[in-house]
This record gives sequence, structure tokens and C-alpha cells, in this order.
Amino acid sequence: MIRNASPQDPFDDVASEFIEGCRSGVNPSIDDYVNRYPDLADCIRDLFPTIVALESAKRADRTEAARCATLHPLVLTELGDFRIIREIGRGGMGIVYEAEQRSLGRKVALKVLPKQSLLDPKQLRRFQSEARIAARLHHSNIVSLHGVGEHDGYHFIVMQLIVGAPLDAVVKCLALGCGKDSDRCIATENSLQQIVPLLFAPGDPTCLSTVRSGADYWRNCARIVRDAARALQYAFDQGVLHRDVKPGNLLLDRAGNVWISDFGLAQAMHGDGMLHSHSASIGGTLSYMSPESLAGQTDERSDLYGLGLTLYELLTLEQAFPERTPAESIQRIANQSFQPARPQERNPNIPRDLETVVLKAIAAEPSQRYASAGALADDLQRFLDNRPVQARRISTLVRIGRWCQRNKMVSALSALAILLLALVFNVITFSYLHAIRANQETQLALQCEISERENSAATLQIAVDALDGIYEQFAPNDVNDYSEPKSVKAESDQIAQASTATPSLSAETAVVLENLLKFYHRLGKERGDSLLLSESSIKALGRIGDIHRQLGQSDRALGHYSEALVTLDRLRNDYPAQLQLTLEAARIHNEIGRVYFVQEKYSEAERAHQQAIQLLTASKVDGSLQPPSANRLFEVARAHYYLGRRPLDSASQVAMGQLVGKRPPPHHGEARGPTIGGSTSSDRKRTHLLAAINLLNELPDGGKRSVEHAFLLACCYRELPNARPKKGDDLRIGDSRSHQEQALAILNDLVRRFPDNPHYRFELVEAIRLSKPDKTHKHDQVDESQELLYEALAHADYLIEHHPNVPQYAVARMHVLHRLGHVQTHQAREHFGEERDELLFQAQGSHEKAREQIRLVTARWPGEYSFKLWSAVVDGSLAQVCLDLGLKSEASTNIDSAIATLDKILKEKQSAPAVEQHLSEVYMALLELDQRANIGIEIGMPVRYPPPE
Amino acid sequence: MVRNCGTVGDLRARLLCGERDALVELFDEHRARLRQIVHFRLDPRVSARVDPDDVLQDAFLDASLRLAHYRDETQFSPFVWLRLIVSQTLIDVHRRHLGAQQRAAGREFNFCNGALSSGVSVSIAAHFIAHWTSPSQTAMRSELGAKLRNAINNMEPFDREVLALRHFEELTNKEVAELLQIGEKAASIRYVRAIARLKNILVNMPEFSALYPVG
Repeated sequence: MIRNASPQDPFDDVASEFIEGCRSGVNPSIDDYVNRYPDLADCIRDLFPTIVALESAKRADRTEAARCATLHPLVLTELGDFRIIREIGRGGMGIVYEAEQRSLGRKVALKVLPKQSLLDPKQLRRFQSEARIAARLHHSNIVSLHGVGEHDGYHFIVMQLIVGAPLDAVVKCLALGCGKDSDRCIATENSLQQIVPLLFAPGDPTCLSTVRSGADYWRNCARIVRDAARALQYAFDQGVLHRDVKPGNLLLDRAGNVWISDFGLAQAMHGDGMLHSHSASIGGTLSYMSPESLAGQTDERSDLYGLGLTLYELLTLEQAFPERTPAESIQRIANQSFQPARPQERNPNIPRDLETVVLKAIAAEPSQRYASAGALADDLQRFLDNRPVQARRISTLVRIGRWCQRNKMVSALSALAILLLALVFNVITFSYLHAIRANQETQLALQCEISERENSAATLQIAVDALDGIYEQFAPNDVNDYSEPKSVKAESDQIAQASTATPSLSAETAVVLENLLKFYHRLGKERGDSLLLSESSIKALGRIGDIHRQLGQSDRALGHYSEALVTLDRLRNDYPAQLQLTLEAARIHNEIGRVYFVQEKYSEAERAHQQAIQLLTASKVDGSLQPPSANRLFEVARAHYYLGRRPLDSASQVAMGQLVGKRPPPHHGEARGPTIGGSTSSDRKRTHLLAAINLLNELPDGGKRSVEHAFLLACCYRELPNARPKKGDDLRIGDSRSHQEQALAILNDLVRRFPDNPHYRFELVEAIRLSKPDKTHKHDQVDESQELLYEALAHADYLIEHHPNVPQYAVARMHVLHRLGHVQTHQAREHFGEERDELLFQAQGSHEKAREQIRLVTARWPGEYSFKLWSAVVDGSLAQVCLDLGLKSEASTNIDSAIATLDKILKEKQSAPAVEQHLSEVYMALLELDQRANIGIEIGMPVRYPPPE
Repeated sequence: MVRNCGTVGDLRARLLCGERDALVELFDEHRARLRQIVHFRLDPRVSARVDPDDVLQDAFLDASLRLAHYRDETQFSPFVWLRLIVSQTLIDVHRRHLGAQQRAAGREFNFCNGALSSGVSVSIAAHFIAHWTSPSQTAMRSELGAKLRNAINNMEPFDREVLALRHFEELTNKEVAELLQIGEKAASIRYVRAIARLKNILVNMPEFSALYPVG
């Protein structure tokens, strides 16, 4: 046994031989080994008894284990009355066998589920009841269910045996067959060999790219799906939904007939547990799931959606949504505006009518699909009869209308505005998102129309107003700015980065804004003086800057703002009575301040806001006798707010605070950025905030703007340190509630009134997350803040569900979880014993969820350095909890993972000194943690992989 | 099958071809060992409800679904690959049966990626205890069990895992090295150290030195 160049420890060689002896029942003697290997005698005497102990303990246990072994064969040959003939398929639900039912002498298909003990009894009951319902279906295109049974702990379904192949295999075969190794799949699969040629004209090669027209194939596809649709209609009439229509569940027999299998079963099996099922087939099923099913609303039209996708796949030989992971599917499903490529794009030979039918069947909105399976079948019949189908291609205008409907933000606009929007988009921008392809006729007609109207200033005015409305809907004057994710290479190519580096804008909104931008540029060139003085035209001047700001393109925004200011100054000279000119100029100063703020140029920002205040208050003096308008006061309040808010959070700051156990840096101290007013700066900020609050409270209620006022008010309260109002606070409105409570009350109210406005909800999430417990009421405050954080979590979930493309929302969820973990840790430290551990486990759970979330985020937006930094921070927090729990090696693993992340950032990063500083700060904190993790561990005993050897 | 899949004896090559018969053979060959692994790794709370054979059956199904991916996982020998699948199945089974409890108990089945399980020590302890089944010893079992659990718990996770793999799963040193992704020499040294450490623990416990004349 002993080899000379053994890679093992010499003692291990001898021990292995000894162990082998023990296991084979020889019971070797230790003394014998001592004599045979005198070099190792001491070790053998010392350690072999322990080995004997381990082995005999195991042996005793093994006999016990073997006693209860049932020794089922891996390969079934028999199951009660059924003799298994061969395996014909496997799926997530079980193995399908061809079997003979001895008592009846008939051949059946048996679908055998995993053994009972591995199933959840609730699932099993549901499965049985669904099977009973499905067994009532009798149709020439539905695989009959003979019944369900149980034998030896195996549950199985007895079904009609269809000799054939599922459509996914047919599609795969056809797709392969057109590649280099043609006939490969045909040669291996017996039944496919017979079935696939049925779909083509006799004598034609069974390959779509070499068939001249493929007419027979298209007709066969239409026929198959027509028959399936009729079968579905029959089932619907019996009140049975399939719930998992996809190519894998449609079988084609050797006569070319289609059979639907597995009615209602998939759902019963996977049901609520759909996403955590242990089989790999789930991703596949999700690829055929309709958007509404994700929200749990399924009806007949959801089944039709699956059938539409099946037809799509038959025609194109590709999946409409070739997702690889469930996460991708969910993202696609949740983001309704996502459309698959048109079938004709994938193969131009596909008949246009069939394409039209497919697109109608797979419309994202259920109401846009066929109303019934029968209607789909009828339309396919029309195609087969060479009659025009009833489904209509969706025109550009209708699409825009629909899109607007889906995106309720714009739904308030009148039909006229939508029409104008369409005009503008078609003529000026030529494309509307990537999904819209205007058809020629419409475009021509629209061009005629607009050239006729182009001279009419009135029409243009209407368009300007409409677009202004759209602008406001898309990018409401969100009061706050957020730290933009800093891409490692953000500096260089701003435009390419724009859509990801944009604060709280979805990709769709960004596209719309970019299109509006073109419009405003054109408007800026063509304006006439008469037009210029209308309110919306004045606003239009600054709009270009606004849009660039919204898109995260700071420098361009600043350029356009100063251009607008020059024009406004000229106009203000010419028309001194036009007060709105001053207002707009002040507004632009405020916006400029915001841009500087995001760039972290705090003194420039302050100057801009001061200028805004100066403009508004000065013109009041030399201007009219009227009291200042509400708009003016609001603008002043806005300036005060911007002057009073704290600098942006940075990941490293918070990281430092949390990792080394200190509190995050005080909000009103100037940890970063130039210190403007020295030590009095936080007092000055406070004064500004209080001034803003007083102004806002003075404003008259009512009207559309009051919502904006309330929002700003909430933001002001949020900025104030959380304390109950003091006597000397100079707040004119008496209220005993703390600032935080005020902010939350207003935001909660706004979210309740405007559930669709993501800005309000996001602000609420942030307000909860950033709020600090009031120190005077320590104990119940902790419970309360946990409760609030759970609320915030629900809001974050809502945001992510409705706006899956906005990184800030996804990150906000992580922040909430992370904060929850810290609150729980904090709470745990005030308890002892089991209670403490229980709380720490909760904290660990929260941090783990946070880590899951940040991993999703970094996987989705891999370029953002700050996201990665956060993932390291979360790992660090997790390590800290593990340390508190005494789980040193888990803590070490987490620290390793955090350090690995940092190393990766270091490798990727290009320059940016700020980045370096953040990194080293977090690094130091982690090393400190690592030290804590290693204290008390035996010296020289590596606890982590890879080992140092 | 017309494919060129290597000789009948070359299981690895046949697995790479995705041959299902090869998988059945592989499974049958190692069935006893795999069963031992499942038996050993099942949480006592779960083993009351779940039969190891059912877990193996499920693992076999998973393995056939993943067979196509074996060619991407060739760093593993067939047995170690199969064992990975079995442990994944075990994790799923535990998750399904224990759900949140598992987290609350603070242990996780995690065999191969570094965060080793404290569940292993419980399993080893259970094996030791199973040995004392005579009625006269029943009374001392729980006390002894607690001591032993405590002793093994105090071992480093790596030591626990190496002992579990070598003795209870009966993996060879080579397989252990492959699974833990460390060198064979290193794995071997680790094993010897772990044995030495367990000995030091047992020798200080009168109960054990009486049963096994250690030292």
C-alpha cells in the first residue's frame, strides 16, 4: 500500500491501510502496525486508538442505518398494477414512463413524482384535487388523465400514452437541423424522425432555411395552434385552466395531431413555492409566464399568452424570451414595455398575418389579447382559409396611447396632447423608444399635417403646453437630489453612462426626456417674440438644462442654464413688469445650485441659492405693491431648503461609522466639502430650514401646487435633527410632534394620495431609513423604528416591483435591510443570554437579505463602484454580527469576501482620488474586524481557505 | 447509441457524453457510501420524517437533470461530483423541512465552500452516542452526549469536516483534497492534525478513555 512518492503524509498512508483493514472486518492489531512501521511507532500508538474509536462508532451506527434501509431500486421496473416498459421523458415534476397496466392490458403513460416524504403534504393534496378536475376533460386534443395512484410511497399519474414528441423537442430539432450537423437530432430520436417531416410538404427537406417558401410548415403551425386553442376553449368552458401552456406541454403524435398535457398540474405542484422549487425546470416555465401571472392574476388570457409564445417559437424556432435565470424572467415580466423581436425580423418568410396573430396573442396587456381561445382559433382558421385575419397591426399612435395608459403618469393628458406628442415624436425624433416602428403611411400623413400647421403659432403653443405637461409628469419637480452611483469611468463618456448614472429616472423616462430635449432645442431656435412671453415658453428656456440635469449630465445642464439666464436677463431689461421672468431666473439659479450640489461643489451651490433668494426678495422691494405670489414664496422656500440640507451620504462614511461601531457622522457637521460657516454652519443650516418651514406654512392651501409644498415641507422636516421643537425655535406653528414624525406624516399622506408617484414613496423610504431615534425615549423607540423599517421595506418592494430599472430603488431596499440589521444588533447589545442571541440571529438574517439584495444590484449594474463598495460594507456588517454571535469562522468568511470585493474594485478602478480614500477607509475598518475575528484562535491554525501550506 | 463514448469501463468519458446508463452505474457503484453520507448528514429533526433512500432517489433525479452540465464541471471526479449533487439535494431537503428553523438554529449545510457546518459535530456526536445502546448506559447517554457534542464543537470547523469526510463519509484523502479544493499533502496533514486533536480531547474525558484505551 505504501507508495514511495505518496502525496500524503506518511502517517496517513499507514493509517489509510489500517482503516481499510478495519472496514473490511479484519480488525488489524495496533501492535502489529507498531512492529511493521517502527519509524512511526509513537504516532501509531498515540493515534490509532482514536481511529478505532471513530470507526467503531460509525460501524455501530451504520448497522442501525442499514437496518431501516428499504433499498428501492433506482430504476423502476414495476409499480403496483403497472409494468414499466421504458422511460420516455423527464421534467421538473417527475419521470414519465411508458407502462403496461396489467389488469386492463393497456399501455399508458405514468408520470412518477418524487417520493412522498420529500413532498409537502399540502402540495400533494392540491396536486390530487387538480388531477381529479383535469380527469374530467375529454377532448381529442387533450391527453386524457386516467387517474392518480400511490404505490410504495411513489405518487403517480396515469395518462393516455401518446407516441410522439413534445413541441419543444420538435423546435429544437428543427433549429439544430438547419445548422451544420443537420439530421443529427433526427438520427437520434426515433419518434422525431417520423414526426418532423409531417410538418413539411412531401419531399421537401426538413429545414426551414432550405425550403423555398415553407408554406406547408406555416400552415401546419397554424393548424397545430388552432387545434390547441380549440382544446383550450373546451377546457375553459369546463372551468379548467391549464396554467402552464408552453411547447413542452404540447405533444405532437405520429399522425401530426397535437395533444395538450398536464392540465393544472404544474401549478398545483409548484404553486406558491414556484420560485424555490428544487428542480431546474422553473426558469423554463417562467419564460412562458404572462405579465399578469406574476401578480397572481391568471385567467384564460394568460393561457392564451403561453399559446401565443408557443406559436412564436414554432415560427421562429427561437424562444421569444430566452432567459437564463428566473431573475431575468421576472425582470422582463415586470417590465411590461419589453417586447420580443417581431417574428419577421427573425425570419422574413414568416407570413405577415401569422405574425399579426402572434403579436396579438402575446400582447402584454391582457385586454389587448384575443378575448377567448375560440377567437384565436377562428383567426388562425381564417389564415388557413386564406382570408384576412381579424387581428390588426397596432399603429404607432395606438401604441403610444397604450404605453401612456400603462404608464399612468401620463394618463391625465388629454387626447389632443397625446396626438401632439405623437406628431412631435414622429416628425422630430423619428423613433419612439426602440419598440416603435412607425408605418410609412402614418408618417407621411403626419408630415403633411405638421407642415400645414407649422406656421401656426397657436398650434405650436398648444404643443408646447402639452409637452410641458408631459415633462412635469415624467420628471416632477422632485425636490431632492441623491448621490448618483459613481461609475468607475463616469468622467470619460458621460452620454453612454447617462441612463445608468441618472438619479431615480427609469430608462424609459430617460428616453422620453431625451426626445423632449430635441423638441425644446428646435423650439429654442424657432421662437418668435410674440410667443416668447407666454408662461410656458419662458419655462422652455430652462427646460433644456432641466432635462440634462435629470439625465445626470451636469456640465451640459450648467451650460444651458447660463444660456437661459442670459436670455432671461435681456428679457427682464426689456419687460421689467414681467414678474415671471424674475421667478424663472430665480428658479434656474436654484437648479444651478442643485447641479453644483450633486457635483459636491458646495460653496458654488450656496452662492447660487443665495442669488435666487436675492433676486426674489429684491424685486419685491422695487416691484409692485402686491404681496408676493405663492410661487415666489415657494421658490424662496426651496432656496432655503437647499441651503439647509446636509451633504450627500457617502458609502465610505456610513461604512466607517457602522463597521467600527461608531455612529455615522453627524448630519450637520461638515465632514466633507468646504466648511462654509465654520462651527456655526449647522446653526445656519437650521435657520435656513426653519425659514423654509415657516414660509411653507404661510402659503395658502389648495390647488395643484400644494402637493409640491407639502413635499418640500416634509423634506425640510426630515433634514432637521430629530427632536421635539424647542421654545426658542422660532417656529410659528406650534406642534408637539418631532420633526421626524412630521416628515413621516406628510410623506405617508402623499404616498396614500399618490400611490403612483415613485418620488414620494422613495422619499418616505429614505426618510425612515435615515431617521435617528429620539434619544429621550430610547426603549420603545427601538421597537418603533424596527416597525417603521419593515414599512419602508414594503414600500421599497413596491417601488422595485413597479420600477425594476431604477438602481436607486433596488439600493434603497438594501439600505433598509442593512439598517434593520443594525437596529437589531443595537437592540441585542442591550439584552443577555438567549434573548440576545435571538436578536442577533434576526440581525444576521436582515444583513443576509441585504447582502442578497446588493448582490442582485451589483450583478445588474456591474459598473457602479459605489454599489460594490456597499456590498463590501454589508459583508462587514454581517461579519460583525457573526463575531457577536461567536461564529468566528463565518465572520472570517464574510470579511474575506468583503476584502475580495475591495481588491476587485482596486483592480478595476482607474483613478479618482475620492474612490481611493473611500476604499482605504473601508479597508481599515475591515482589517480591524478581522483582527477581532482572529483573537483567541490557536496560533498557527489557519481557519480559512486557502491554507497557507 | 452511435456516439463514440469511450470504453464501457471508462465511466467518466461516458458521463461526459451524457450517457444516462453510466450515471445509473455510477450511482449503483457508490450507493452504499452515498447512503451513509445521507444518513450521516441528515438532521435528527428531519431523519424522523425523511428516508435516506428517498433523498438518494431525488438526488438521482437531480443528477440526471444535471448530467448535461457535467462537462462544465470536469474538475470533479465522478464520485465527488455525485456527492456534490447529493449534498445539494440534502440542503434542499433540510430547507424544505426545517425552513426558517434551520436559520434560527444557526447552522447551515455548506459542505464545500469554506463555511463549514457546525451541523457536522452534531452528526459525529450522534454517531458516538449510537454506540452506547445497552440499557445500563442509557442513563449516561444524554450527559455523555452533551459532553461529546461540546468537545467536538470546540474543534475547528475544518477539523470537524475532515474527520467527517474521512471517517463517516469514507472519502479517500484524494477525494477530500478535491472536494475542499486543497492539495493532497495539505489535506493529509490536516487529517492527521485533526485526529491528534480529537485524541487530546477524548483522552481527557474519563468516559472515553474507559471505552477506548486511548493513550
